[in-house]
Amino acid sequence: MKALHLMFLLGLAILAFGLNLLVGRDGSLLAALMQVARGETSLGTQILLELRLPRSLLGALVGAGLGVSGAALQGFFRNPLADPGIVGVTASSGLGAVIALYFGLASISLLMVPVAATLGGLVGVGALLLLAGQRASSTTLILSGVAVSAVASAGTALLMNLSPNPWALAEIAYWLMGSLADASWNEVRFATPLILVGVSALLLVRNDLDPLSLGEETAHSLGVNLPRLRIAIVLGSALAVGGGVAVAGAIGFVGLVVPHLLRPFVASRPAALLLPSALGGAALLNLADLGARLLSGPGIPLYLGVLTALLGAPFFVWLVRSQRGRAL
Amino acid sequence: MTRLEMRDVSARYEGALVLDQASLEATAGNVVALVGPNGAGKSTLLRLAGGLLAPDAGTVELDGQAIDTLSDRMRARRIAYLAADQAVAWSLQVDRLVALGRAPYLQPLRQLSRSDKDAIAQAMQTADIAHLAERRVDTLSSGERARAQLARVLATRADVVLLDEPIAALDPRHQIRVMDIVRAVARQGALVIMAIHALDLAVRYADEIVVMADGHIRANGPAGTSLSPDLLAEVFGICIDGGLQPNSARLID
Repeated sequence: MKALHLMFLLGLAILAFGLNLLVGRDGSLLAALMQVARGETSLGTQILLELRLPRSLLGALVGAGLGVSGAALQGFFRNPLADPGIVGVTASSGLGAVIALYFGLASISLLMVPVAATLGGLVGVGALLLLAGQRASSTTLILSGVAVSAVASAGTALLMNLSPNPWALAEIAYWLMGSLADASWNEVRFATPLILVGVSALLLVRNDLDPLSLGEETAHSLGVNLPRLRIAIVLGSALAVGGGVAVAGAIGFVGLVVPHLLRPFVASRPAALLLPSALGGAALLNLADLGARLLSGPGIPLYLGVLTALLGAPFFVWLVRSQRGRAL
Repeated sequence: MTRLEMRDVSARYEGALVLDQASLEATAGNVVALVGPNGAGKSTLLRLAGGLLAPDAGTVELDGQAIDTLSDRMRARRIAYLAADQAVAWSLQVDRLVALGRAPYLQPLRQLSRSDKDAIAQAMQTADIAHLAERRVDTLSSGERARAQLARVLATRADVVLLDEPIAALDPRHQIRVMDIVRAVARQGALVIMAIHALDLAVRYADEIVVMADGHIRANGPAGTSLSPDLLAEVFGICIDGGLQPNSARLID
């Protein structure tokens, strides 16, 4: 990718961050921003600093994690349909988090939910790798993802079924729909290290994804350490997705759409796709969150995960159709 | 001078013995052709020679050093490998495909160096694909794609070049072109070991022919002598009237 494209994406991510930070249904927080600059405090500056700032930061972080994992999983499985949601990582992360919520582990330490979500993601990617193998056809990959998702969803449904009261049930259900509405500095503190470590692990091994386009054996002959690459992909995507799911619930399709839109700008090189996908994911998620906030009626929130699914699912259908009949 | 030595190498695949105590010595500057029916063990022998597969018994040494003691990167710099399956997963540009041959030299998070770019340009020149540099791999003909993959292998500038049936899908003209390139690579000082089905081309281009059947090396010697009529009959179940002649096709420009 040319430096110019990268700068454009960075600008877009910053713009989206700024818009989600400042724009709301009740007008902009520009005045509050000025007050912050002058060191004054008001209700506006509190909203800005305690609600919007962590929310927009999380939007960028979670989006970057989803975008990078999507690009890395697509490169690793050599398949443009790989996405944390479609291959079941999101659902297994979700199950991990729901287990932590259900058993009240969050009362032991607030870190338990992110940790459980990450562990769930790890189990999910591991199971996918066992089920599908690495050179999976689109069909095998998606069916394996469906299987992983089905098991995770069944577990989640069981816990919802057994939940002691309607409030606990509602908490899990709303949380699963995916939202940044509860974002606070606590969430930022939990998610940041997890997502950054995951994203870094994926970025560090990205050069191995190019030789992998020629198949595992040829990649090995070109010096790629395959076991190390597998571990980095599994750990990295589990952390990058799990950290996001832990604080924002299940947000689908970002990891599918972003790498696909950016692939032409990197001449289809899987390694070159990771960094732009991080920026693109950060931009898209903040824009989607802004959209979800603006579309929400008074007292009727539109959930971010619902919005990305509504936009992403038709795109997925189109992608499956365009993949049909291809050898890949 | 580069020297590859395999001693009493055996390999199993899912329990079955696919290579049984094979021994082979080869030195730089030569083209060694592996011939034999499908399933004879040619690909397995190449994988073992390239350190991509660990033998169940026996040793593989490169210049006296056991190949499994080399790091992945060092091994990849010295031994280049072209698999029989030449699929490319993404719609890569040809020059990016060839650049993958430099992967063993690429430092993490770094761009291609000057010497990388030189190696890539020269490899594309040798394989006569410089004019295709900006094309997408999936828009090439089989012949062009084979040469692009060959250029990728050459870009590594390895001492040992292993090719698994590089001309299997090509028309007669492209077969000659690829074999000319192979010959030139050996002349420049590399050791080339290739699996090949076209016996007349093997006789014409190889310095040494290794005849394999059922996981055994049945004969090994200079081109022309190792493929006796008796062995042809026994190993391939064919008889050639007038004896096996070297391919004599010439390219017309």
